[in-house]
Amino acid sequence: MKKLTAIASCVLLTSMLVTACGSGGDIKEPASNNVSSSTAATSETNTSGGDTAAAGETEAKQEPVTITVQGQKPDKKEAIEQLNLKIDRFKSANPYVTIKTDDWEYNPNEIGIKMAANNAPTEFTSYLTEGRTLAERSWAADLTTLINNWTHKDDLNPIMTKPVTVDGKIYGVPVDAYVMTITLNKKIFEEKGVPLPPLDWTWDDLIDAAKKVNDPAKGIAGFIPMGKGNEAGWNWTNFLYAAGGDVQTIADGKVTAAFNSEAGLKALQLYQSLKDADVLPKNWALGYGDALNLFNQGRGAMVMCGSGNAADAAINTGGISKDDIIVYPIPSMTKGGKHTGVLGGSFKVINPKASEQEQKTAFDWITSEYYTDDFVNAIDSEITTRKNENKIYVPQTIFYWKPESEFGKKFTDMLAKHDNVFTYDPALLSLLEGKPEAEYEAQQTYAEISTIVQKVFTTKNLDLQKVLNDAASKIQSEVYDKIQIKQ
Amino acid sequence: MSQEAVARSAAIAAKKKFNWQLWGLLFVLPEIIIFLMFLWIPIVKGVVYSFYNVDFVNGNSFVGLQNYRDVVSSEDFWMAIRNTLYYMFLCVIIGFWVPAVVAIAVSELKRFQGLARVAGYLPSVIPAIVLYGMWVWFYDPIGPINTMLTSLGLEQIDFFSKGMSMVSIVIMETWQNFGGAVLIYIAAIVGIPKDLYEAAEIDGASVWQRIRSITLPSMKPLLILMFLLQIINTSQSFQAQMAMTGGGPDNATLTYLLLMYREAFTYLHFGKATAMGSMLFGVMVVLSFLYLKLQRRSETA
Repeated sequence: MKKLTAIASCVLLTSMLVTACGSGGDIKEPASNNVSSSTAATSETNTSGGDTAAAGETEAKQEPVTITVQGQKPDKKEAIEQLNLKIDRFKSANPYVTIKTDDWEYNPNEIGIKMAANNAPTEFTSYLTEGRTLAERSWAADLTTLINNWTHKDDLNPIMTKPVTVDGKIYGVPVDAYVMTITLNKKIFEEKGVPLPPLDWTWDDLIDAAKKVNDPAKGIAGFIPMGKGNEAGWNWTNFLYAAGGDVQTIADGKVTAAFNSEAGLKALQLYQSLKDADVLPKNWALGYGDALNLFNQGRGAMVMCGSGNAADAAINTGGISKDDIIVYPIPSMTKGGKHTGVLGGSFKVINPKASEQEQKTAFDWITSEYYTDDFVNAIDSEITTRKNENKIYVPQTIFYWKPESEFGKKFTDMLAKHDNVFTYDPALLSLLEGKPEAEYEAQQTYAEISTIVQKVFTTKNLDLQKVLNDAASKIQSEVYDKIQIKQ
Repeated sequence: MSQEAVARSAAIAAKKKFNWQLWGLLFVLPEIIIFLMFLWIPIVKGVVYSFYNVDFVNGNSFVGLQNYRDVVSSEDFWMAIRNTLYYMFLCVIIGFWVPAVVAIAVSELKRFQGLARVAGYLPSVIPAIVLYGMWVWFYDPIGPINTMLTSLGLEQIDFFSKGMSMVSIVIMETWQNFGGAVLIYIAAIVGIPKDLYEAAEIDGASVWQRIRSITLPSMKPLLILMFLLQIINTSQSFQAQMAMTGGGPDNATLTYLLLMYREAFTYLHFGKATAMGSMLFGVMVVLSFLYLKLQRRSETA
């Protein structure tokens, strides 16, 4: 009898243990229900009170709804402060909404896991270049209807809506964008007594400047291209674009590799001559962070990055004075040619796994302050806070609004008020020309191009055209030929 | 009457046995559940996914052997296998004998044995990410190793060249990992009966003779075991390659697992990645059986 009770209690214990394990993921559920039911109560009292922001909306919208929005990493105190204020403003206008933040930052290597595990936030910021990837895998909600019903739909900057439009549908709300640039450390130029090249420089100017500032004995490289990982391919693509080339062409429902063109050969020859001139860091294995670190440490005079990003890191992380940093466009192949660089940036994505109501709320949250004074003021006070901490604000060069619009002017005027804002040469902006990334299998293409770049960096006496052709035919047969383009 | 008693006692015995088994079963149940959730179900799912085009949102679609065909027809796949085998070979050539030698040397020490053991194990304490940063600096053209070489008037070594990069990684990993193996070997050496050594010393055996005739033969089963474990571990290597060279230059350090990682998380081809995983799993199962067989043979010997 004793034994029986012992066994029974043991069974009970184990089953409790098991159920505790099994329901681990659901524990949050009742808690959040409590929260939303309490907010529901408030919203009810509000609506009975008469005119609130929600009163004009449809019946379904007053249901309590919880969304998780893009948060900021804990070290970005100024941005968190502004985000919390924005949440308060949004909540007072929409009391039935509960907002949680998630400080996960988009990463192409993590999005798959997030979607598989179904724990991506309701809205998150992604790279502009991920548009097609996200759309094709159904990892971004189709926002076409929401955008078409939006009052500001025609005010969006067309440069920015293009990359998020896939097969005629819009998959995101643009935030800001950049064109790839080359950032120079003026101090290294001055110490060597080398005059800065002209802003509308050419490839020859780049090689020339790199040779003059190069100082291997001190470990200072003239020019730091990224060489490790897919960044290597991404960096090189800028020269391919500047030479007028393309990564791939799309015709008759077929994707064809195009980086082995005349322009591709020219761009690879440029890398070869930089290598032969011995102006690159001895260690080719530099990823995005490694390259920026070298630049921050003053171990390189020039680095390639999206407009203000290298400047931001050099000034706010590396401690280089903002007056010692200058941003140049990607050099043109010949004098007077185009300074084309890869277009990048960020846009807001809404999780397609969220319910329709959550998606609508997330869209309202994202666009609630677009084109309003609140938007400008938030950045205004963020810059002020940064000033108190001796930090410099580095703005992007392209935004969701049209630069010539009224709102654009308001924003520029606000920036001009502050002395801790990094300024670009006004002539730079007119030289920059952005070109979107390859649409299909961009990452795998970059990986293939990276091996070409690494070959140039580590092997002597290469037949460049053959290297390009081999890589092109490999990616053609292994990847591009298997792509089925939706008509 | 007596028959009944026998039957009853048999029934009681059976019940007792059953109770004991039930008890045992209850105690293993949590482990079984945890293993099922985090190990066996993922393995089975992985194998199943390898026959599907994986799409988390719109549902998977069965594609038969397409993933396997795609993987096998890619150049990188064979390159990755070659690289992994080369890496495993280097790890044996450069790394395998180091811990055994160090363990024997330490056990022969008359003084400072404790200190030597701690010093040997210290590198294993360093977090991997710090380790990679540190060794990238060691291997830097203006880092300590090359500075020393230049000051001695020697040629600098390009540690991340196509030929050297894998060797550089193996040297680093050996440096980091040998401590753990040293401790295991030392434990084995300590376990060798002291009287064998005393007898040898009385017979006038030299240090070398002692090592060759007593220490090494006693360590043999352990050496074989460690060798197989190393083969299993090194065949799955990708951390250092990813952090230090990203698989480059020109895919010279692209290992099997790194390619699998890329397929899954960079190219988002989960089906192809699981196909690669299933193939690796097959090889691992064969190796594990080999290991069990060898172990059993060494036990009976």
